[in-house]
Amino acid sequence: MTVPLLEIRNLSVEFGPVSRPLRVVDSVSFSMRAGEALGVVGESGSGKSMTALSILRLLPEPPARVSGEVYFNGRDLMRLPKRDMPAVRGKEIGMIFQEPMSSLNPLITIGDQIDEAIMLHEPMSAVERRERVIALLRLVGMPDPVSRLGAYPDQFSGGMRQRVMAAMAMACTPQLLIADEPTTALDVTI
Amino acid sequence: MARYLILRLLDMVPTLFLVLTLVFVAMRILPGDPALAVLGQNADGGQLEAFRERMGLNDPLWLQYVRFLWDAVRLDFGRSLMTDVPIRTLIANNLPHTVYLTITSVALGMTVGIPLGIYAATQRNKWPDNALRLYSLIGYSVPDFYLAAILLVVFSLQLGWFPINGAGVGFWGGLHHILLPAITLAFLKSAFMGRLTRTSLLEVMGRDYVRTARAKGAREGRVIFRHSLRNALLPLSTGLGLSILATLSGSVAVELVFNRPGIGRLLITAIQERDYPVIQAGVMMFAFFVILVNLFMDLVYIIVDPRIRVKS
Amino acid sequence: MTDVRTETPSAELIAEREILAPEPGFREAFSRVVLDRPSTQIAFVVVIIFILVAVLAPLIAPYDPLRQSMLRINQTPTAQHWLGTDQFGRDVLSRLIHGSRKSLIFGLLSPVFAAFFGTILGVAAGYFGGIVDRVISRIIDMLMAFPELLLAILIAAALGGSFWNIVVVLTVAFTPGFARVARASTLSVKQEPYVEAAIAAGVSTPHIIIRHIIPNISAPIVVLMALWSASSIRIEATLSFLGIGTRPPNPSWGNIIRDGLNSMFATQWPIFAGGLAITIVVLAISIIGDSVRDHLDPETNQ
Repeated sequence: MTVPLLEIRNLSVEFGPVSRPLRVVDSVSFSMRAGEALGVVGESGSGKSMTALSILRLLPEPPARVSGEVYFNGRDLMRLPKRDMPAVRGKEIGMIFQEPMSSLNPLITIGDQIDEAIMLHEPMSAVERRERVIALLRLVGMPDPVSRLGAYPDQFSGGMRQRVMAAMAMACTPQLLIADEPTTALDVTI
Repeated sequence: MARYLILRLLDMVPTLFLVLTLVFVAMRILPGDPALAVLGQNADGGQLEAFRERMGLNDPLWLQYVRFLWDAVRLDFGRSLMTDVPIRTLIANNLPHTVYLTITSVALGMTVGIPLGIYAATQRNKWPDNALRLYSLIGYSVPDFYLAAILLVVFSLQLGWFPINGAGVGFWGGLHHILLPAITLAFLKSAFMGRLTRTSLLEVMGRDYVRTARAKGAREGRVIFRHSLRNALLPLSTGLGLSILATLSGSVAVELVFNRPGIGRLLITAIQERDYPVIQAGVMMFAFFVILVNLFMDLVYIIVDPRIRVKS
Repeated sequence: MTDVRTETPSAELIAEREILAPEPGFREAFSRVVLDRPSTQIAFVVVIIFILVAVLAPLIAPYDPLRQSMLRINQTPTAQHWLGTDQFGRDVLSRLIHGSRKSLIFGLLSPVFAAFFGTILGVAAGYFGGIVDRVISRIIDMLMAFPELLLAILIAAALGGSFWNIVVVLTVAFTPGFARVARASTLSVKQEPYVEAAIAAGVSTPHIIIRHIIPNISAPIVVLMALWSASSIRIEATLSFLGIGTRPPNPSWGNIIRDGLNSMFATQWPIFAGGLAITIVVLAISIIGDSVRDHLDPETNQ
């Protein structure tokens, strides 16, 4: 039996005072193997996003208190020193957020934002990275990607921005891609 | 972008017009008879009449108003009643000192304040953050003129390290003379800028796109300097404008304490001597300053925010 | 331009949001705000002492603040004159005690007047909208472009500095701040269902404004009044220092320092004492104001 790609054991997230905690994620456990797709379903407020965010340890602590174990390739991310987390984020695990309208930096061009995701993890030259960014944009179905590199997020619709997010999350071909309701905020038609 | 700029410039016209009108109303109508105010109760009828004639106060009000606007547009403020020097000369002699002091103080205040604010934001609710909070409260509570007076007494009078008055000659002389006044103004501004930087930065760092940057694997330094600071700069530039103007208003008292030439001291001296055309010119100069600084801040917005550039 | 300012968290926006937070019970809020931190407790005691000193000035002051004595000019502190004397031989401590009355009066009066006029303007702009809003907002924006101190200096320069002129000066300088907050609060209250229901039911406009709007926007206005009274004291002191505020020989903290500067070669006590008084009182009021703001907006500050 192989080691699962991701195994979560007793993951809990609490807010509020220790004496009167507000528990938003209560002892969640699940596991998945490489190549598998896992859907987490639940009504709003049931803690799906919180679970997703705690895998990458993106919840600000404090105010949040996260406990439990998150094994990724057999390594417990919860016990990883804080300074080692950036090497995991984006490189081994990519994430697409729920809110495409606010998840892109309005002051940086989309080309630069995708480029940064590669630059942070891959030893590539600027020219190589540019090629990769264009290929990624093409992959997510962005029409005419070359001319869009210098555009700012405000010039795109929500759907197009979410494609940019997807391109960014896949930039380093992570082993795990977490998508937190990526289509919720979008129109029904594409 | 060019169109936006032109629109902004056109937008200044009604503001300018209204400010000038307010100055006119305040100076001509409210204080009663300017002739009496200037010459005092002891002046006889002939003197008063001659003064009124000379200042054009006998003309109908609308004519005075038109002439006032026309003079203001040409930057012709008349002559000082006390010294008979053209006011344009007085302003030319004093303006550079005020501008120099304001720029030095704002630069100094930002150099100290912004890094303090960034540091406090990263140390939220720990002691550096609380220290900045206290510093900004004190900075807000100490009046400029009090700090100026203390620095003057301690460093100029008792220690003798700095001159007591004037603006100095040459670069080093100028620097020697400007240091205490600039530190006075910068102290308070750095407190303000620090607090504002901290608040804006914390607000931006709670945004979704900062989370995105973290999710990409950006380290904390990069998150702050590349993804947050520039975005925080937008509210900061509003604060910068306020800070420049606050420095300008503080410069009035500071120029007085350090006996430095400048528009502020010119205005205050004119008020004491009831040098009425100079008061009017001084008030207008400050009003122009305010309008100019606001325009300048709009330019900063254009430079920082690509959205404005792209849209227009 | 405007859309960018509203989209990004400007300082003004933060301030407005802080002030628009829901209002808790007054007594509970008061005890939470005052008793929460020791610094606020001390600040509160300082403000009470300041008010007592100002009210009881004639009883406390050891000497007549105006009595001159050529035999005792520019003295450093002695057993008779704890803070020494000024260039006319007047007792500095007595002048300081009497000067607190000016600070207290201006600290109370101008924010109250400014709140009154600012609320009227702001509610009118927010409630009626249209051309009324455009004109009032334009004037507010223009006045807001001037820092209060500069505005005060310029108006005082034009008017001259009698007691009522200073009140007018400070009131004009503070009114735009109140008007802006009142306008923003009115806009949000106006969309509340109970106000919309009242409008739909044909309740008269004055009645709606007095019964529904004013009570619901009063909390932020009161907070702003507390904050402005600190500014008011500081600005009055500055004007008096510049010689366009309280006229000599009447004592005010500003002109005590002004006189002190003229005789600084002999004694520096008036400068230190006068400035310290201003700083302590303004600091105390600011600390209380800061706590109130934190209380109303725990998110950005805690």
